[in-house]
Formats: sequence, structure tokens, C-alpha cells
Amino acid sequence: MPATLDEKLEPIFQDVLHRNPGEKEFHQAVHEVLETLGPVLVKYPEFAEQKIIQRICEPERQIIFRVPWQDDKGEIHINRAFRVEFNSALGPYKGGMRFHPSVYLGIIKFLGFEQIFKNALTGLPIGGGKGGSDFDPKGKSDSEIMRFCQSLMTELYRHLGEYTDVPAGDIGVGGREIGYLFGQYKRITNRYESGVFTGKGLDWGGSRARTEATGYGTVFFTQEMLKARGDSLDGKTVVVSGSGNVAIYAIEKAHELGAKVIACSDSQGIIVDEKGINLDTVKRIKEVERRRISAYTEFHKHAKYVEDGNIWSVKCDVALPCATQNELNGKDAKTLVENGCIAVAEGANMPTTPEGIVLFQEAKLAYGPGKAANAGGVATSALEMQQNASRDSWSFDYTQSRLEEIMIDIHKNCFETAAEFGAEGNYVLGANINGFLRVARSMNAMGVI
Amino acid sequence: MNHEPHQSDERVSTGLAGLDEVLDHLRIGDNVVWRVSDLDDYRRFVLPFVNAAARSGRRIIYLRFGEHAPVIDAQHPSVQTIRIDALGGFESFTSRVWHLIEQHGPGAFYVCDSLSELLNAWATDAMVGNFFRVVCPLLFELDTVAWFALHPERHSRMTLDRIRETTQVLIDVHRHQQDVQIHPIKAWRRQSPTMFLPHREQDGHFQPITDSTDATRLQASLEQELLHRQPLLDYWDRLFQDASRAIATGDRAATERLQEQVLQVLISRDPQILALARRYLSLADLLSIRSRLVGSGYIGGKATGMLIARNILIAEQPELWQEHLEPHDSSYLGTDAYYAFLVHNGLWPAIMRQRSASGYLSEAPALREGILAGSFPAEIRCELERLLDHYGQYPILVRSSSLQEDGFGNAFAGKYDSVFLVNQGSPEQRLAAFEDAIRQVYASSMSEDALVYRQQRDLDQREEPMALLIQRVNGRFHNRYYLPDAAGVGVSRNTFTWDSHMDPKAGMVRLVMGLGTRAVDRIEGDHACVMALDHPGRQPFRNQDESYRFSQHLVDVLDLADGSLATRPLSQLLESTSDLPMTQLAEVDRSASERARQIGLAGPVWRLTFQPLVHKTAFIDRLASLLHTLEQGYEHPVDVEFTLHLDRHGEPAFNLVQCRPLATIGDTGPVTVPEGLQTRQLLFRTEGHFMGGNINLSIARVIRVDASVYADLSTSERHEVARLIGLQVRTENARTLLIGPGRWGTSSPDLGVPVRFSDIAGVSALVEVSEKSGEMVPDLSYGSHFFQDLVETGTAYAALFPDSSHCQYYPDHLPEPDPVDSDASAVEQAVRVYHLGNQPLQLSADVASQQLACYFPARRATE
Repeated sequence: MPATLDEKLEPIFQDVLHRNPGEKEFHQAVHEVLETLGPVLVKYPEFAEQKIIQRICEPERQIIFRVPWQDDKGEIHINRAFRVEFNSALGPYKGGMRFHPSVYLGIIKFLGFEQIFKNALTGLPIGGGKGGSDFDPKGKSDSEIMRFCQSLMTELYRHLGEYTDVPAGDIGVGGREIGYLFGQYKRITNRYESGVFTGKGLDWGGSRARTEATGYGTVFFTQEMLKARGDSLDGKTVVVSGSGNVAIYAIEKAHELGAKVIACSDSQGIIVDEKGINLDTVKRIKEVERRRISAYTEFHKHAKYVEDGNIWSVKCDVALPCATQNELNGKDAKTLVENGCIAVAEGANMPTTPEGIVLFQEAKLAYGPGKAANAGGVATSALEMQQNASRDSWSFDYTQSRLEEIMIDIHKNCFETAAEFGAEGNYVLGANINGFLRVARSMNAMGVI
Repeated sequence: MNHEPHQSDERVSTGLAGLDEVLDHLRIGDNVVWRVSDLDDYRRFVLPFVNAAARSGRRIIYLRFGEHAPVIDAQHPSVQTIRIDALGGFESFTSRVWHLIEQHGPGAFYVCDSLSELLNAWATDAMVGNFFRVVCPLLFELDTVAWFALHPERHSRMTLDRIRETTQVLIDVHRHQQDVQIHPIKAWRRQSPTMFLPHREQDGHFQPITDSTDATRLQASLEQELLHRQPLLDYWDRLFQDASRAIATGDRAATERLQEQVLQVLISRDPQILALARRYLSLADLLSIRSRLVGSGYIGGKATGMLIARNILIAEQPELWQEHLEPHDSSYLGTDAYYAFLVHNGLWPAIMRQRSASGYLSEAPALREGILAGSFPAEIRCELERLLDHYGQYPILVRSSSLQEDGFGNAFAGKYDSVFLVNQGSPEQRLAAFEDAIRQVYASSMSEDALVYRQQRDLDQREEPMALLIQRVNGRFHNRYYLPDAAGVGVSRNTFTWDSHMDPKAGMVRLVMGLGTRAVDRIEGDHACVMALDHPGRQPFRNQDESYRFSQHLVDVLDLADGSLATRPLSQLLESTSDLPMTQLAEVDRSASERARQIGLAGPVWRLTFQPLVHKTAFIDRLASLLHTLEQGYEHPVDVEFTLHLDRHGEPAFNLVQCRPLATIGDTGPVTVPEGLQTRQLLFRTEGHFMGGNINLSIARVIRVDASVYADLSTSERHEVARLIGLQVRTENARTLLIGPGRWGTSSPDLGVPVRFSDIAGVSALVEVSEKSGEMVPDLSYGSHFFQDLVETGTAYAALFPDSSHCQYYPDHLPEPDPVDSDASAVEQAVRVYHLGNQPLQLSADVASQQLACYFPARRATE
């Protein structure tokens, strides 16, 4: 583990290690949160007195259960499933289900712990939780997936509810699985409780703008960061890494707000189009034809494709890493700063390395960490719950406008929290502390539970 | 000779003063050809020449290869007799003679047996001419004098003309009863008023026949003698003539004998291939092959494999395959056409230089350029025109079919070129393109890749003449495009079973729409459909979106408008053609179709999953049956290439394009994992949990991720490790084993090393190790596209579970790794590189026993 902790926090961490042996990912997640909490305990000593942090580190409930199922040949299989209901101080437990052979309790706790603060940052009434199973959906037929989901829900239903615990999708759990899970839940409970799951299909309570949410949200956040500096996206040159969902809709929203996105990429190379990326072409290539981004030049001969190119070397005002983890390192950060970049917002999870983050902060560039900037996806899940609770079906525009409001709020909360703790403009600190504070204040208000 | 090289004026005696007078002596550099109907006439002139040469102190070499009685007594004190086996074939014989001449160097004199004897051994008439055209210029350059004999009625006008053109001196000898005449036909750069008249020998003198009446009577009497003589055929023509007769008369014994003889000159010398051909290629089949053969010689491995496979299917399952196996329409260019091309273009000296140890690689580029610039002999050109007339304007495929290709142990997969010809345009344009294609395939035998491949298998000194297989491309015209409905590669053993329920013996297929080029090679960013034949519906994907993402999006076609092989996005193809069999090969991607509608594109959007073909037709059953039958026939797993032609109900007929024994990854031959390996020799050993079929690889370098160091790295550092590995893999071309904890290619650094496939595409073997912490568990099926890439690149894979009783792993048995700086970062310390030097590892895997071992053969108990 890197930095040493505040002397008040180190014993808490040791206790976590002792109580959760062998769960390395969980240990690391806890450590990363605790690293930022030193100043918080100075300002809010009651949190230490009430042992808020110790309580946050201990899940409210951990459910482990057996899931037997039969494959198409009639052979019986047994998998193990988990649901860790970590924290409900702000609302019902909320977090995805992951079906992957690597799943074990440690991974779920790590993900659930992080989910608490990610959800809290949205400002919406959602708690933190996570679940999953070591079931491998790879190569399984639809029938086998269905039987597994039905068996899992037959046990898990009793712990779920729109006011209790609301799962969503994650790795290995997509629209198909959500459908099977909800179908079995409805059958057992005899209730059409559409708010018990998010990630539903549009025909049965799903949210419009879900596909666009993370990308749009990243750009909304960026806009707010620039506004805080008396600036805006209008007229700015932007580069967006990647060409998946997040990148495509980040480009779309950036263009709408008056920016010009001049570069995007995929794992093989980068496209630079000084006239501005033609999004319809990118959508055609990536969503319809499923080809490499290099095909862009077939439609726009003036554009340049560079195989294995480095998108961060393209001069820009704003950089939006939306591709993958660790794609922007210290050297890339230096290049961006030297080229005059004034804002970076992360659409992907942890795309910037620690060295890169330090460089951005030293250069006083507006840096929006993924935890805050890409919270649009999580926020839209919560909006789906709201929509279901009101038994309504919201339009795309309404959902989008709500999303924008949420991202504005997230920015405001991060910004003000950073200022409160003497680190104005430090969105990393702001995001880490703000999420914690909401949870801690709520837990403090609810007594020792 | 076309050019006018310099020839010495030094005179050489024939040994007969009278003959010297007629010819104004021989000159140094002369090749002297005696056309004689009776070898005694040759002998009577040879002996005086030899004696005269001996008196002059010359080295005299007698090249003895004929079956006739020697022309020089083996005991002659001044003559060195060298026996040469004429049965080795053109290249072997010619090369041997070439090397002998080079060895003996300038100034030696040569006497040869009758060249016509070669027709008995192996040669066609044309190849005798080619031999002469190769050897004589060398003799001339080395200032020798060489004598040859030739039977005039055993050779075609074309061959005789070529010999006449090449030699310096040509003399006919006629005998009419006791009357012997010599008739000089050619004496280069010499002449006299009577030199080229017939001369009657009398008491050692040769008197020119100056009386025209006398000459006319002589000629008439010679013609009379020839009148009733049957033309003498060469070995090749005689053989096939006899074969036809044997079949026509139903002579079984003759048929069997002739079948064997034809197999040896047309099909192969490889005992295993011959055994197969003997069973499945009848004499009638061989005659049919010959009727489609341009030139003579072998048809090569690829053609042989294709023909044998088709006959196996028809013989073993006639009802099924007579209906569902499309007839083939193939032609062949024999290996002799290749040799004729080389000789015609004066490339034999270049070939000889390239065959030497020092010139093996360095001479290849120049030879390649020479081939690409070469022209075809007139008689071959005529045949090529005839071939094109046969195929009309249907696209054709010119494929390499070298002698060693597609044999047991030597696939030569992808080493030589195949060229698609759109075959459009005027006859002249089509012929020019055809010739270019042939040159290109010939020249590919000189690619570095192919030469290194041969060298690695100790095949570099074996003959590798290039025959060609010309095939009509199976397919249909779709407006400007021509393509088959589908194409694929089938393997009778599934060497990449990613699911424990899959039976390796069931086989596997890689299927594409359009030309099969896309099924054969790994294409970055695009994927064939890979299916296990016992579980075709099971794909290594988590959901439908993944199955669509990792499907084929680009199609290889022949573009008739551009005149070339082209790659087109499926969507673009669908815009211009409405009759592609999409409902039989694909499924509609609803969300992509909706997206297409939103951005104003025509829909629906199809994804090539091939599920309708699998579930609604007999494709899988038929393919499984085809592979099983061929494997039984070959008594060895096989690998086939095929195209599909769908009828209006979507039922597939197969066109079998190629069949060969399934190759081992690495070195050739069957694999036995050694028994009695000592623990000290092992790096690892496992039972099961490997993919790639039989493996026999020598490993020169190991790149290993140290699990304990890796475990302590942060997420970003783990990504750095992935990048560093990519750099390390690319630094060298050594055979590399990559070994690391958990999953290679995972997107989650907690689960393994997050490399891209392109980072590790150069490694020979990939090993994943299960680590004690529990979460880093190997399972290749987790990376679906990784799996596809492994299949397509033929990379061996193993998963190690050291805690199980079936696995042993000793990383400390590796030698010292390459040193890292003392201030190396944690990332650099996590990646250790081991250069094994003279103690390489051997990775051996036997699919039958499911044993895999990676060990140091050089380490012994005595160490």
C-alpha cells in the first residue's frame, strides 16, 4: 500500500485487514478512501467519536448463497452468488450484478464499497451495494442463462425491493439477464415492482438516454468546470479518446455545446479531422458496421489516420479520455499541458495514471476525475428508479435535462467541498470527500445502527 | 547462342586428321553433338578424340549415365569415369552434372553417354533439351570440349532445334549398309565451301559428296530406311500410351504396374503420399490428370492432396458426396514447366548459386527478380492460351503446388503465393495477367519466409520444384463482384477446445462469407466464425452483443470492375447487391438496424453468425462427416479448405479446394512427450489444459511475469507491465514462451496481465499460471477475441494449476534472467527475460495422451 494513513485512521485500516483477510481488492479500496479523510476528521471530529468510518467499512449485510441450475443437456451445476448490501444511509442499496468466474466475496465488497461513494456523489437517494456470481455466461445458451437467472432470483428475491435493494447490470449481466431476473422476481412476489431493477428495456420501464448518459454527463461536467473558470466549451478544440458509447456521446454533446472535436481513436489508431469529427460516420463505422476507426478516412479523405498514434499529442483545449484504464500517463499529461490544454474530464474509469494526475494538478488545469465526471451512468440509473416510482415514462429530453441538473450538482458539490477543505479546484479531493460527507452525515443522523 | 561470346582460337584435334580437315579442327569451348542412330558410330569417333586429348595432356572425364554399353572402356588409363544416377530426376541430374563441371574447372574435356538415354530414365523430350541448354553454356565458359550423342528419331523437331541452336558443333552420322557418311550441320564460326556437305568416309579420309545426284540418291535411301520406322516416343508419352492401352484392354496386371510407374513420375516420391495415391487414384484418374496437365512432371503436393481427398470421399461415401461434392475443374502446370521456364530465361546458373550454402538466402532476391522478369517458352504459352479458353471469363485461382507442399509434416502453409485472377478483359490482357500470376507464384518460392521455413526443416537441399494448381474459383457473379457463398477451413481435430465439454475429435471449422482468404489468415480487427463441430451453437461469447462484435464485418471478393481481389465492408456489399444469401448465413442485429435508421442508413444490419446455416441445414453434419472420412483415409488428422455453394433451400454443396495432414505447431512429425524426464529438467508439466494440438517447439527465450512482484503493483503499474511486455516481445524474433499469472489479455489488471493481442502476437506459446491468491485464475475462454486470435495464429496455449496433482511448475529451474539495473522500477522487475542460449527449452505436447511438458533436454543426471 502506498501512503501511510493518518494516525487515527491507521488502526481502522488494520482492523479492516484483520476482519477481511485475503480480500486484497477491498483492502486497497478502503485504503484509497481513508487516505483522503484526514482533514475530514479534523473538521468533523464527531465522525470519529461515532465510529462512522468503522461502520462504513463494515457492510450492513453480506449474503452468500447457492445457485443450482441445469444446462441444456440436463447436467446440474452449482454456482455461488453474492449480494453485499453495504450502505443504505442515503437510499436503498444500489449496485450492479456481475456474472464472471473471477467473482468472489472480496471483489464484490471492493466494488460495493466504491459504489457507496460513487452513488453518494450524484446527490440522489441511492445507497451502495454490489452483487454477482462466479457463473460464466460465456458460451451458454439463452435457456441456460435463463435457468441460472431464475434460480438465482428464487433465492435473492427476498432481499430485494425498490425500497430495499435495487440491482442493475454489470459485466456479464446485460439486458437479457435483467429481463430474466425481473421476470422471476415478478412471478415470485406477484408484484410489478419495476423499480426493483435498473437497466430495463425501454418497453418495460427502462430509461431513455441511458446509452448517452455517461458520455453526455462527462461533457456536462466539463462545461461546469470551465464555467467555474469563467469559460465554456463554445469554440474549444477537443480530443476524445475511444470510439465506444462513452466517446461517441461525449463527442455528440461537445459538438452541441459549440466545441469542435478533432480527434478520436480505437485500440488500433487515431483519427484526426481538423474539420471536426463527423459523428454520423463514427456511428456508422462503430455501431452499424463494427469496423476499425481507420475506415473513417474512406468517407473523409482529408482526415488523417495514424496507426498506433498517440491522441494526447494532438493539440487541444480540452481532453476527454473515454477509452480505457491507464491510457493517459505522465508523459501524455506533460504534452497536453505544454500544448495548452486547459481541462481534462474522465469519461472512462481511471484512465489517467497517478503521475498524470499530479502533473495536471501542478499545472492547475481543470481535472475532473472519473468518479465525478463519469457519474452520468449511475445518475441515470437513479433517474430510472424515479421514473418507475412515479409510474411514468419520461422522454429523452426530460431525462437528459435531469441528467444535466445532476451533473451540475455533482460539480457544485465537488467544487464547494474542495474549497471548504482549502483545496479550491481540486476535484479529486472534492469528489472523495463530498461523497463521504453525505454518507457520514446521514449515518450520524440515524443513530448507532 | 544469341550473344557472341569470345571463343579461343586454340585448335583441338578430333583425333582423325581427315575430320580435322573437314571441320578445320575443333576449338576450345566446343560442345560437339553427334546425331547417330547407332551408338557404335559414336564410339568410333570418341576413341580417337580421347586418345588425341590424352596425348595432349588433357584431363578427360567420361560422364556415364546411360544404360547402353560404355562408349569408353572403364580401364582407359587417361579417362576418369564418373557414374551419375539418371533416375533422380531433372533437377538432381542436372545439378549433379553442373557441380561436377564446376569442380573440374577450366580446361577439362568431357565425353557423355547418349542424351537420348535420359528418355528411358525420367525425361521428356523437352527436358533433354533443357538439360543441354543448361549445361552447354557452362562448358563453353570453362573452356572445355565436350562430346554428346543423340538419337535423331527420338526427339522432336523443337528439341533438336534447341540443341542445334545451343551447341557449337553438330554432326549427323549416317550409315547405309557399309557406307558411312558424316554430315556437319553446324560448326560455329567456321566454314569452308564444302564443310556442310555430306562426307563419305574412305580410309580415314572424308570426301565431300560434291555430285548432287549422288547426294540425292543418298538422301532418298536414308528416307526409305526411315519410312517404316515408328516414331520413338519419350518415356513420358510412352508411359501414358501404355496406360491407355492397358485400360482399354482390361489388362489388370499391366494396369497395376503402370499405375505404379505413373504415380512415381506424376504424383510424388513421398512414401506416405504414394501409399494414399495408390489406394485412391486409379490409372484412369491419372490419365485424366494428365489430360489437364500443361507440360510434364509432378503436379505437386497441393494438387495431389485435393485430388486424393475428393476420391476418398467419393470412394468411402459415394451416395453423400456424389450429390453434395461439387466436381472440380482444375488444371495443372507440371514441375517440368517450371524447369523449362528457368532454363528458357537463363536462370539455371542463378539457381545453382542459390542452392549453395553461402548463396541460399543472399542469391534469392536476384533470382526472384529474374523470375518476375522472365518469359514463357512458346509451347507453354500456347498451352496457357488453351487453358484460358477452357475457363472462359470465369475467375481462376493460380496456386502453388510445390513438390513438398502439403505433405506429412511440411504444410508450407502460407509460404508460397496464390493469386486470384479476375480473368476479365481481352484475351491478350487475360493471358498477360495469367502469366504474371504464374511468375508471381514461381517467384514466391524465393521468398525469405519460404526459404527459412525450408532451412528450419532441413529441406533446403532437397528439390522443391514448383508445380501449379489452376482452379476455377467457385462462386457467383453479383453485379460487379464475384464470390462464393461461403468458404472455410475445417480441421478434423479441434485443437482449441475452450470448453471441457468439447471433444477434440469432433473437429472445428472457421467460416466466412466470400473468399476463403479471410478464413485462412488472422485479420486484425475482423473475425471468422469459429465453431466446434460437436457444439456449433456454443460460442466463447458472453452475450449476443459480443457475438456480433466479434463476427465478420469485411468480405473478400473479386471486383470485376477493378480487376482485383478486394475487401469490402459487408454493408457496402449489401448496398450494391441484393442477392447475397444473408438469410442463410446471418442474423439481423436489431439495435444496429435501429441505429442505422436513426442516422439515415438503409437497413437491416446483418451479422454473419452463420446460425441459420448451422441450425437449419445439414452443413455441420456434412462437414463433420467429410472431416472424419478424410481423417480415416489419411490415417492422420487433416485440415481442409473448402467453399460452399448454397442451393435455393440453403443446403450447402462443398467444393473441396485443398486437403493436407494437420500440422504440428513447431517442428515436424508425431510428438511423444519423453518418459523419464527428471524433475531438474522440467520447467513445467501438465495433463490436459492446453490447446494447439500436437506441439513440438524449441524455445529460445522466456518472458515471465513474476507473480509475487506483479501482485504488489498498482493498477497503473500493471498496465505498464503490459506495455513493457509488448516492447520485449517485439525486440527479437526468437521463439518465445510467455508465462504469467492469471489471464493474458484481461481488461482487469487484477485478474491477469492486460496486454493486447498485438503486443504478444509474435510469441510461440502462451502460458497462464494459477496463483495462490485465488483470483488470478487462467481461463482462455475469458478473452473471446483472444481465443480467436490464438486459433488464427496457431499459438500454443497452456494453463497451469500448480496446486493440482496433475501439474508441476518449477520457475526456479529457469537460469538467471537478463540482468536489470539496480535502480530498475518495480514494473521492470516484474518482467523477467531469459535468453536460453545453448540450453533451450523444448515444449512438447501430445494430444492423444493429453500430456504436455516443457523441459531442458540438455540437462541430464550427470550435471
